Amino acid sequence: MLKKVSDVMEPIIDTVSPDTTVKNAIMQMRVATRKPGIYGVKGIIVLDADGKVIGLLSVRDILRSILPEYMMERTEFGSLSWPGMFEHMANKISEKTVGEIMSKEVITISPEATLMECAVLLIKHNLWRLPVVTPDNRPLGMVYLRDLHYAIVDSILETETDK
Amino acid sequence: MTEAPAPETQEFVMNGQFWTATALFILMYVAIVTEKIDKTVVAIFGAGLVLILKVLDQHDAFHTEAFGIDWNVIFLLISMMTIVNLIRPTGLFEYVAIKSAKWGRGEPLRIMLIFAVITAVFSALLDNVTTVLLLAPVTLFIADALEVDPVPFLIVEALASNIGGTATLIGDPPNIMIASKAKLDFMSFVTNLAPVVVIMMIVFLIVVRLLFSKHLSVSQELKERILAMDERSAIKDKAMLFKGLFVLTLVLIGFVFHGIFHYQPASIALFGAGLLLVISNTRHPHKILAEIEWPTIFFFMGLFIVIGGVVKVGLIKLISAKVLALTEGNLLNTSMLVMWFSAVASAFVDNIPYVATMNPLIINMAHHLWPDLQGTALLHHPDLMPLWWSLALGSCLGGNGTAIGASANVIVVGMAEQNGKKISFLRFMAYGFPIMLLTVAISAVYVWLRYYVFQAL
Repeated sequence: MLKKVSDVMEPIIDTVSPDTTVKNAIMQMRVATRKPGIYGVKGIIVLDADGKVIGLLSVRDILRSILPEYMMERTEFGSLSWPGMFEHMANKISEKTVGEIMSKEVITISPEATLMECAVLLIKHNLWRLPVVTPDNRPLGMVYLRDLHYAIVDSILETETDK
Repeated sequence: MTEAPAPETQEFVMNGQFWTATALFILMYVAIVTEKIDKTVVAIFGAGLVLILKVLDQHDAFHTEAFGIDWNVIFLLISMMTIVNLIRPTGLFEYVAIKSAKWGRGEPLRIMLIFAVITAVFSALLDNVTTVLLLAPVTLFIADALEVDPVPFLIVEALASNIGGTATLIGDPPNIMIASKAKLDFMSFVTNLAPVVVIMMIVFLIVVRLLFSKHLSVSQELKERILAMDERSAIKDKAMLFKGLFVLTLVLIGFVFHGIFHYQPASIALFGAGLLLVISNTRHPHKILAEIEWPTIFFFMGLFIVIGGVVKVGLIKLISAKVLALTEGNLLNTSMLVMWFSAVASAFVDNIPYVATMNPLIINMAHHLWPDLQGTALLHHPDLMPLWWSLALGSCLGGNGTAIGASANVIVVGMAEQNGKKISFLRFMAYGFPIMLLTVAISAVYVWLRYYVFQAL
C-alpha cells in the first residue's frame, strides 16, 4: 500500500497562542504531550484565535531569538562576547511574546501529499517537522523527519522479506 | 590636468527637445523624492528615455565629458568598494572598535566620543556608508554589554560620519563628483576643507559631551564586561589584513600625490583594487565583485545621463543665469546662497542628484562670468573656488539635517530598527538639524573669512 502523509503523521495535542510569553511557552513545551505517555516537544504550533496555523515555535527559533540581529550582520564578530553574554541575552527574551520570535512563514503540507513531496520539503528547507493542515490552514497533525526515516526503514525491511 | 572642451551647450531654444529633457528631469526628481519607485530603477529608466527620445545620442551619453556618464566617479566608487570588500572580512574594523572601547575604559561617554572620532576619520578615508555599516554593529554590541540605549551612540556616529566625510575628495559622494567635474585634486580638498572639518569636529565633540555627560554612567561591573573583551579575537585573517592595509596606505599616498603626477583619483583607486585582488589570491572574484553596491553605481550612471540631457538643451544654463541675476553677480552672496541652499536641499533630497545638477550649473555660471576662459583656467578661477567649497560643505553637511539626508543616516536608522530600537524621523532631526545648522554656520564663517576677508587683504 502506498503511504500518504496522513498515514505517517503524529497527532498534535498541544498548541500555543501568539500572545503567550516565551517563558510560558518554554514551560508548556517541556510538559507538552508528543504521544500519549511521551512528554516534551522541541517545536509547537502557534494558532490564532480562529484556530488557524500562523506560526511555529521551535527550539531553533528560541535560540535564534537570543542572538542579536547585529551579530547576523556583515560584521565579523569572531569570538567576541563578554562573560555572561549568553545568559544575559537568554533572560532578555523571557517576557517577549511567542508572536515576536516564532517562524512566521510556516511551510505546511496536505494530508494527501505523497511521502516523496514531504521528503523534498524537509530536505530543501532544512526542517525537522512539517505541520499537516487542512486547505483552510487548520492543523491535523505533524510529520517529523523521524517519521519519514521509519518509512524508509519499513520499505527496506518489506523488500527484504518479499525476497 | 587635461584641458576640458567647453561644454557644447546648444544655443538656448525652447523647442521640443528642451521640454522633453526638462520634463524627464523633473519627473525623475519627483519619482526620487516621493520614493514610490526605487531610485535606481528611476535613474535607469530615465536614462533609457533620454536616449530613446533622442535628447542625447549614445555618443553624448557614453563618451562625452560634458553630457555623459562621469567614469571618474564610477571607477573611483567601484575600486574603493572592491578594496573595502576585501579588507572587511579580516576583522580590522571590529579590532579597532573594541580596542578603542577598552581604551575608553568602558565608560559610555568616553566611548561615544572616541567612536565619533574614529567614525569621522574612517569616513574621511573610506566612504561613509561602509564606515557606519561596519561600526554600527559593534556599537550595538557594546551598548548591549553596557546596558545603555544605543540610539544616541548611533546618531552621533551618523553625524560624525557626514562631518568627517566632508574633509576629503573620497570621503563623500558629493566631493567625488565635484572633484571630477571641477578637476580638483585630493590635496586641494584636504587643504581647503579639512581645516574647517577639524574645527567642526571639535565643536561637535564639545556639544556631544555637554548633551550626554549627565545621562551616561554605568556600574563598574558593566565596564568590566568591556575590559574583559579580547580585541585580538576579532582578527580573522592576519595575512590579508596586512596586505589590505599595505594597499590602502599605497592608495592614500597615491591620492596625496596624484595631482603632482597627473593621475586621476580613479586611476589610483583602480590600480589599488587590481593590486589587492592579485596579492589576495582571490579565486572567486565574483563574490567580491558581487558585493559592490551595484544599485548605487547604476543610480549614478542613469543620473548622469538624465542630467546630461538638461545640460545639453540649456536648462542648466538658463537657471545659472537666473541665480547670478538673483545674487547680482556678487560671488560672496552666491557662495552663501549655494552653501545654505545646498544644506537645506541635501537634508531632504538625496545629495547625489542634487550635486550632479549643481556641478554643471556652477560651470555655466563660470561661463557667464568669464566668457573668454576655458578648461582649468575657468574651473579653477580664484573667484570660482569658494563656490566649489561652498557646494561641497553645504551638500555634505546638509545630509545631517534629517534621517533621510544621507545614506549613513538611513543605514543607522535601519540597523537600529532591525535590532528593536526605532529611531523616529523627529528624534533623529532633534539631534541632526541643530548640528547641521551649527556646522554650516561654522562653514559659512570659514568661507567668508578665508576666501573673502583674508584673500582680499
